[in-house]
Amino acid sequence: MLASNELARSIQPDLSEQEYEWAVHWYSSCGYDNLAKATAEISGHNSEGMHACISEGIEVCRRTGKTQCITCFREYATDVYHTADDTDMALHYARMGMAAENLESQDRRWASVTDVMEILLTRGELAAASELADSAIEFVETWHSPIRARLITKNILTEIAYLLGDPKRWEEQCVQAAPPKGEYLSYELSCDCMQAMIECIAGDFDAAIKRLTRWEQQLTRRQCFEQWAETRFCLLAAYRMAGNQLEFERLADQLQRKLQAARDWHALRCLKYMRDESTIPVPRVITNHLDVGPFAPQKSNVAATSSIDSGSDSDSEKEEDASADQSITIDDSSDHELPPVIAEIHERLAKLIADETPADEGQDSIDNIITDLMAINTLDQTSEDDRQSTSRWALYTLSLLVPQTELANEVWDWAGKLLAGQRQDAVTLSLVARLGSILKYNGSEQMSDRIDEKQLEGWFRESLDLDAENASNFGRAGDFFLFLENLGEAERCYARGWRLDRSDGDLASKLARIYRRTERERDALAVLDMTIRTGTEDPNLLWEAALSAQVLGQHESTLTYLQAFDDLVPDQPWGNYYRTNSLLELQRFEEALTAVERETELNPDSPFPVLAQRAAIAAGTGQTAKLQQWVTEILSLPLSSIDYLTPSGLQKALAVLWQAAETLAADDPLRVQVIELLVASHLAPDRLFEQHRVIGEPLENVNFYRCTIEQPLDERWLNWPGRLVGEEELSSYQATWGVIARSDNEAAESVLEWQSKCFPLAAKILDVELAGEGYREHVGVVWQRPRISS
Amino acid sequence: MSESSDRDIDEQLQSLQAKESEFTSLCMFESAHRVATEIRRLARAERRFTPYLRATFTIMNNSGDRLSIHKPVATPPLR
Repeated sequence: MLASNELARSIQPDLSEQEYEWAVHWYSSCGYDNLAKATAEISGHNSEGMHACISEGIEVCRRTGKTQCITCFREYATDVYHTADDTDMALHYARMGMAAENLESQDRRWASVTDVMEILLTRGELAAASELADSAIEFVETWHSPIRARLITKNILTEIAYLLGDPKRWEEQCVQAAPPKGEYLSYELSCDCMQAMIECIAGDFDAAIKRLTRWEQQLTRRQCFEQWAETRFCLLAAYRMAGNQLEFERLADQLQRKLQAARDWHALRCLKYMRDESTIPVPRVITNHLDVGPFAPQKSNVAATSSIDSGSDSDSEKEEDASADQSITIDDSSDHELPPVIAEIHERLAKLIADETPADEGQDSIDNIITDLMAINTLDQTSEDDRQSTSRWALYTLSLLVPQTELANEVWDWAGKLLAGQRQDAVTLSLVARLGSILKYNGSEQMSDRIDEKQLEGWFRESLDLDAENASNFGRAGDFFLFLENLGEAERCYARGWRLDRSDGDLASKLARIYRRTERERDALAVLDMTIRTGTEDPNLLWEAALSAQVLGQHESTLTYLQAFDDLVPDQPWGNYYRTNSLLELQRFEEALTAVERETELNPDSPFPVLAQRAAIAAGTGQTAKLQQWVTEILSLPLSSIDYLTPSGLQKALAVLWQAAETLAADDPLRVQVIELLVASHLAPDRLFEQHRVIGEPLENVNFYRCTIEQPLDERWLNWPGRLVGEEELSSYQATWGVIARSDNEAAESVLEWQSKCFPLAAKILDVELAGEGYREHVGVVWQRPRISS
Repeated sequence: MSESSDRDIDEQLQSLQAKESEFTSLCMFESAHRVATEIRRLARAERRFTPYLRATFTIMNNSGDRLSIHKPVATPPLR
């Protein structure tokens, strides 16, 4: 109904357009939220499409203008990442929610703090979880349903209190009578799980088991998978504490099968921990021993119990674990030892690449190498491991070479035979799928027809099911889905791969790029930062993080990343440009001057942005004469000569220029010239218009319009100051303006007045769209957008 | 349909919505569900889109708390 006006009208035929649009605005994001939650409850939070729901949901919030609901999808992301066993990222999302103070109806800090507590508890960080009790109690009253928040908080606090061995700790707080029986089933379930925990602690295992078994049956009937799994964990804990190992194992096997089917990697890790006989039995689900309370190991036992978990939560522990659980992986930067026969091939390749002379007959060639690779007899290898390793390396090497060969058909035949013998090897399957995708999409039409996309997808997915612990396999599958523009699945694969190998800069960078494409810059930076903190010395990652931090306005962090980048690769162009941007924002003008001078030395062929920065430093330090000198120099550089900046880079440089020029007197001819240049470029910063608009008292009941104009051009365009590089061929262009006005006529007039500063020929209005109404605001143009060829 | 009859139905829907909101705020989700189902039925029969949609969302929102995720929301036929 929210997507189809027609369907909505089948309910109410005389439904007005306005009422329908309001419903779409108000309910669309909630519809997505419900769909995502229900799907997760039935199929698990790590089932297919779940990651896509995060970005799509956020996109729907933006599209329908209900941006306050973005927080709901961040909460949802917490669950998705938790299930994918990435508790660091789950904590990142939850903590962002906690920090989002909003005292209106959308305050969701309570949900976030309880999420953080649950994650910490599962990680065994009982002390940290208990420290958040006061925040949870405080936020209860900000939740839209305080009774519900009180009931749930009470249960969480009771659980923590019992685990601390101090049951009365928060007894007087969050007191709330329970609703009548049968009214709030999920709460009754939560209370019974709690009661079972208390019974287990008291040694009354039979009562706990009876209580939980009854719920299990009910949840099975109701097909509530996630709650069933949570209850099964409580039941397993009871059996384990009771010492009934036989029943424990039987029920654990059942759960394991279901969790594997749901790809719930976090719960699988919890189960692995619970099944480990050397761990202390605890009446709740955890992945690491509790750090305080009666269930915490004695100090001398800590080392023994903490090293059991192969997928530990903190990065420091992860580093220690990495050496203990190294599966063979083949990735682009692999430094594993090459089998001698492959090393020989790589030597030939190196020679071939180094030799730039045209190939003579008898000389080595890519096709010769490919033929020899396919002729390698793996049976010559002494062990099964060597045979497998050689096949994998051969596949990997072939995937680098096939774009340059005519032997595509033969290669694919060979890969098919190889796969038939190693169908259950996850890495081989993944490498064959990658080889197939390169042949299909980079090769001939014949190969494109021969190789089936669905089969490739199936192989990638199967490789992940065969081995859910191989980061490179997830990386390859992510590349495939990204190529197909399936961003949700690409994100799921990269996120899992990166969880398995936090130090993999390539995976971190790819995941960050997906976040950026879906307007999640803050999440992108969190990913980059976590990898940088593993000690990875990857300058590209530091560079990416610096730029990301600058976009987010985190200027101190930008400077730290740039310094680390400089330490690895000193004296690179542009580094000091970005450093100056941040120093300007921090008003550290002296350091900015040093940086800008260094940038001038290192990057002499890109003068425009650096001159703008010099002007901003002069403005910031009150040196008007110098400022005028720099602005004069900037105005002597035609915009059409700037081919070294991206459109957004140029926009940023022009914003810096305006920041400097606006400190000049209003009637200063240089300031007027800068305004003309910026407006004519169609890249003027919004602030420039604000200063012209916000004069006097605001008006009541004004509207916001988007106006699209068409601007004809003539021979003067070629040398017009506002023309940018690459625009010489334009004969006309279109552009959109945002404007606040009392009517569409007034909006059009305002826009045409500003547009007349852009070029001497008269422009015409193509469209005036009402985008919002009933504001109390100053009228006038709010922004202009970059032009496009018409 | 007369204006007064229209007003009666609107008042009836508003009264049911107030009752549903109260049950929801008290965490009495089964009762809220029963009222929302009635709102949905009445809204559809009397061709009121917004109350119909709102009640549908109430039913969906409460389904997790009622452990009734899997049960489809029944759509009463049009009169």
